[in-house]
Amino acid sequence: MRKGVLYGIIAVVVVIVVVVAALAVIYWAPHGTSPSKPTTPAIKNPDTFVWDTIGDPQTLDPAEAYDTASGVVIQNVYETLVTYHGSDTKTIYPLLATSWHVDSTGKNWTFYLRKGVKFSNGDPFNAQAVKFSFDRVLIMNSPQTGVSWILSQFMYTYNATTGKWNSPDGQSSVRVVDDYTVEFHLRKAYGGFLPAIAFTVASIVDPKVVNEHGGVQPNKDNAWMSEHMVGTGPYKLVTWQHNAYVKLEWNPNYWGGWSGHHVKYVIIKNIPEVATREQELIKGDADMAYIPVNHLNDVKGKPGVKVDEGGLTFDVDMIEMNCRPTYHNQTNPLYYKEVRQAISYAVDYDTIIKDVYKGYAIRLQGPIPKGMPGHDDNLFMYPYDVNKAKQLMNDARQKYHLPDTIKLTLIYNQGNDVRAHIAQIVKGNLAQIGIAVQVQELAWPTLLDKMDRGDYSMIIVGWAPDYNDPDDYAFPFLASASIGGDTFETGWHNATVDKLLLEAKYTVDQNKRIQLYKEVQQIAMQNPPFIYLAQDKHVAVYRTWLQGYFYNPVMMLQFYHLYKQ
Amino acid sequence: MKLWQYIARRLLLLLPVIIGVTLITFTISFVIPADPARAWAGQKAPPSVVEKIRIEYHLNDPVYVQYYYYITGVFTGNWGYSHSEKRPVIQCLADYFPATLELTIWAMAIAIPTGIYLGVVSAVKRNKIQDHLSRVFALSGVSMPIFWLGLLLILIFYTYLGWFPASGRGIAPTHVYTGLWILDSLLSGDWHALAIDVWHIILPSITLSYATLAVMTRMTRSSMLEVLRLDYIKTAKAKGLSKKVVIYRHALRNALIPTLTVSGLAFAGLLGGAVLTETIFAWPGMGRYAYQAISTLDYPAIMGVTLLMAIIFVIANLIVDIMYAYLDPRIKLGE
Repeated sequence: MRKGVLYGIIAVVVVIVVVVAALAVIYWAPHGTSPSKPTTPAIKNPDTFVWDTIGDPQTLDPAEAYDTASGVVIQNVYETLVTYHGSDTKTIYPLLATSWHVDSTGKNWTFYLRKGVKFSNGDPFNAQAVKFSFDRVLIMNSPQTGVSWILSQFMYTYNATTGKWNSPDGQSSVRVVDDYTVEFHLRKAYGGFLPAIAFTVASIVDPKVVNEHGGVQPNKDNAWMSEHMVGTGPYKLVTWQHNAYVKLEWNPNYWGGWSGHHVKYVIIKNIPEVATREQELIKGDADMAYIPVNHLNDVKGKPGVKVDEGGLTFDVDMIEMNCRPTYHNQTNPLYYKEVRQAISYAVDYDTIIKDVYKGYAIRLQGPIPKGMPGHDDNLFMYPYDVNKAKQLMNDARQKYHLPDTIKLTLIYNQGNDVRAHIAQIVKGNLAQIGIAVQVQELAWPTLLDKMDRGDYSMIIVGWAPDYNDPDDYAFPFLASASIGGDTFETGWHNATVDKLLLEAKYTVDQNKRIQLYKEVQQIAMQNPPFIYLAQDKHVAVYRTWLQGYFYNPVMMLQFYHLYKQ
Repeated sequence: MKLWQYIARRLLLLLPVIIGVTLITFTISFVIPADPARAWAGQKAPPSVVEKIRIEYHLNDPVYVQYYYYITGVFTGNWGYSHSEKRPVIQCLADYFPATLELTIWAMAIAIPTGIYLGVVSAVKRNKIQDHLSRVFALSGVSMPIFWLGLLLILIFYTYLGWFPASGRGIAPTHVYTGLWILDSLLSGDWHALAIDVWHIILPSITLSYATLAVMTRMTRSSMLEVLRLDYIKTAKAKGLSKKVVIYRHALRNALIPTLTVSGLAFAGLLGGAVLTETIFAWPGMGRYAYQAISTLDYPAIMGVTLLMAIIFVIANLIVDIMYAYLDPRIKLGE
């Protein structure tokens, strides 16, 4: 027995020694004590760009896709008529169209198309392909994602029952003039027309390929197109292993040519675990990796790794407030603008930016993010002023006979650490002005259900751009449900704001639109349905050997400009 | 009862199992207060699209009507449409199940022989250094979080030693017959893919196997200790049989019955519980698909995974029962 105990002790000691030895190896190796391991390995796979990121494309069909992972692949394989260059979000540049003009009504556009462009299979690109692609989006009417709404805002829609277009002459909005000229006759003059057709939904597909594989059917997606791609862009699809990776290779027919520096192959890997992405980046097996800001310290300072903190995204975070008069058959304190103003004063924005976003965000100044047309640099922002908040709350209590302690719920989506942290800070902030916040973490589908039914007090929400236009932010946030807005179901409505938003939406004069959005934001800030929290900064983490990288908040990563050196 | 009759009877029992499992899962799914149509369409989809989805997938109908549509679909090969993947559930399962099955087969191929061997050594060398080492090894396997083990293996064998890759399944062989890439590489003679795929599966399969291996070791040890005390072992020793024959032919065969039960269940359990290993090693398997389905309330996908798992559990148990009869001739099938 004593011998047994002795062996037991020896066994435990051996295990401890092994573990300590392993940890020692792990601890010392990064400091370069092992001369055999180079800390900055030579460039691996010089003509291949490997990107470790998260998320799998849902579909590769531009007429259906409405998620970021799909958009990245689509924007590198397919092309649109117009686009953005580099980090510039102010100017729209030609892509498959070389020039265009619009008449004085703003409804009739003519596009002159690029000649000599071929799809990756050798088929020619022409005006027929443009008409086919736009018509296809509206006929398919994206039954799963609804992304066709972006075009149907201003183009004639298709009536699947009659088989006709809902236009005066029964034709679609797009008319072929000749092989390289195409006209758009819009249902309504839309102020954000050009930015909207720079979005992936307006990508040009090969009519021959689509017709050979299922064609276009009303209100039905095309399963073949979800998995296959034939575009005019610089890359073509090699493999899509679902939930694993997408591999692209260079398109030899690309009209832009391949002189100069470009990566010829691209591998986009879907790696859900951040630690794995970090290790592959540090080893040089990945050229770029998605690293959330709370993990940046893991890679900062590592040899051969660059943390590029350039630019602002258009991704915003807010707390929406339920502005309906009653909630659960009782008076809803958030119905009163004074209460919402008091809450806006009571939130400690700077602490949230510093502690939650680790400084990788700025305060969101109103509904339209900084950098987007229509953003107002002089718009009033609620300062963190607890005394002012208390005073407003006391006034509101007396005026509207509200209880001393108001109970509100604050919901965020499960698994979102950033929002969990925000919720705790806001809970503490609002306790100072007599509002008892109950924080609820809910699964995303449950949260959406509550939002849709207006069954909430406050929800932490976010928004990312579809296209670079203030209408893509101000309208869903501030327009009332009766005119197709209020995506967040706040119940907030203001007749003047509705009128201004509709006017801005259908005005082509961009200077006038900016004035209109300025007015909208001023009204909405005085009677706030949202607490505007943060606009994220962009952080890219990649190997120092990767060249040609730039960030544009309304474009996906453009692989064509990347090379390794 | 003949073997084929027994198997046929057990397979017939699948029918009530399928109906029972789908009924329970379906009901539970509907208790969750959420709007699946909104979740499937996404937050930005217009209300008209959400309503269209509700109508197309009968979401406005009573639960029993929806269940009727589902179960009739299942028996006609239509397992529904996976909204998180925007393609049929059957296609998703055809992609992801073989990946997880391959990983599980490798994990079991490591866990069973190693676990049994360590268990035998541990029992035979009771209270000796081998026993203590193997018990500590087993204890650490049972108590070590799989997540932590996976990351540790990546750190040592990928980052510092550079022996194995950290993520992915490798490359698809030139011809995919079964979806088990290593087997398909062999069948199609694609040696390049074979080497890469084997290279990729080693770390995740070790990670996945460790907990099961530990349970096997402990189980084999305890049942071996029990068997080694029995009279017939003493008789065998008295007859002058060699130690090896006594242990491996006489003792182990009887001691394996409980281990076998565990291994059958563990195999089915690993198939459904590989989500952490799949996450760490970016293995495109069914565990991740199930997690994604749950978090997006992709009912058809949840139902599909549950149904497949139920069928596998039934089949795994059937195989274990048949193995019992092989190991212990006193056990008669169907009695």
